[in-house]
Amino acid sequence: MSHIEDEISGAEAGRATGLASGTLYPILIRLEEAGWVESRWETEDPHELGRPRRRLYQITGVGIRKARAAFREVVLSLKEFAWR
Amino acid sequence: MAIITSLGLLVSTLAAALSRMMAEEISAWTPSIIHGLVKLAVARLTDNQRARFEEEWQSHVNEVPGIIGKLLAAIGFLVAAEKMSIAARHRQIVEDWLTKVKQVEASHSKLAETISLLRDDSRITAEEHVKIDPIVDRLSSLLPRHKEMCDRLATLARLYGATPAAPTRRLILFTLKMRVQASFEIMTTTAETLENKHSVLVKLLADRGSR
Repeated sequence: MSHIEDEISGAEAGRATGLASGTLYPILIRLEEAGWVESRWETEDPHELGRPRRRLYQITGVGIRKARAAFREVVLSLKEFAWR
Repeated sequence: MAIITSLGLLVSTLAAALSRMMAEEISAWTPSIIHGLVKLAVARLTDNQRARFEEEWQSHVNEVPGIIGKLLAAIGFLVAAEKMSIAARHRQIVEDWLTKVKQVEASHSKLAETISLLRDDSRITAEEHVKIDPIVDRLSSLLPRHKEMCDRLATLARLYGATPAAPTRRLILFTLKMRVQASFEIMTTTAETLENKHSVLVKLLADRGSR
């Protein structure tokens, strides 16, 4: 959550979350369709970069609010669990 | 003893050379295999997704280190594409149904208009009323039922749309889909027939009025 507003590629998201590509991309697409995440192609020239251009994902304002709400819910559930 | 040792040495040297050759072969073939897997995966996607994900997934593989990692990522894309195509099919069904709901709701308005026209239009003679009033009464009695069916179909279509196609719900959704599909087919055919009859009636009355 600390770098929540950074743009990352699908591969970077996979490394950060530990999700395999088979699980990751359906989730990214659903988040994009819900407006929680937006994506764009890198604008730098692939020839100059020496690699294919990447698709970069970034969380939207709506996504940040939803993520924070979901995070609070998880924290509350963990606290409840700890008290039992 | 010396022969056995020499033979052992020869076999291990050959095995080492063979495994090195195999590793080089696999290395040489891996880009083509990965490219092929990505192509196979994107073939499952919708037309508007294909070009994007072909490029995106090739780029993803480029970021993954190691041959095994790249192959696993490419195999993962097959799974991702299958899930995405199921979701896209699910969405298309819901969109089609919501279009049909609008058609069916419009047919309900047309039915009410037709009834009103047949009852109240002064261009219809008393003699004609004797013949058509029983039909109009029957159509009127069907109106509430028709409205109820329109509302139920709309609710079911939205429920199907809101429910994720999770494995545990698939059987129920399949049954629901079959029932709703059949009702939609009947109601949209009826809607089209009503539309035609209404147009004929309006034209007939208009011609009569202009004489």
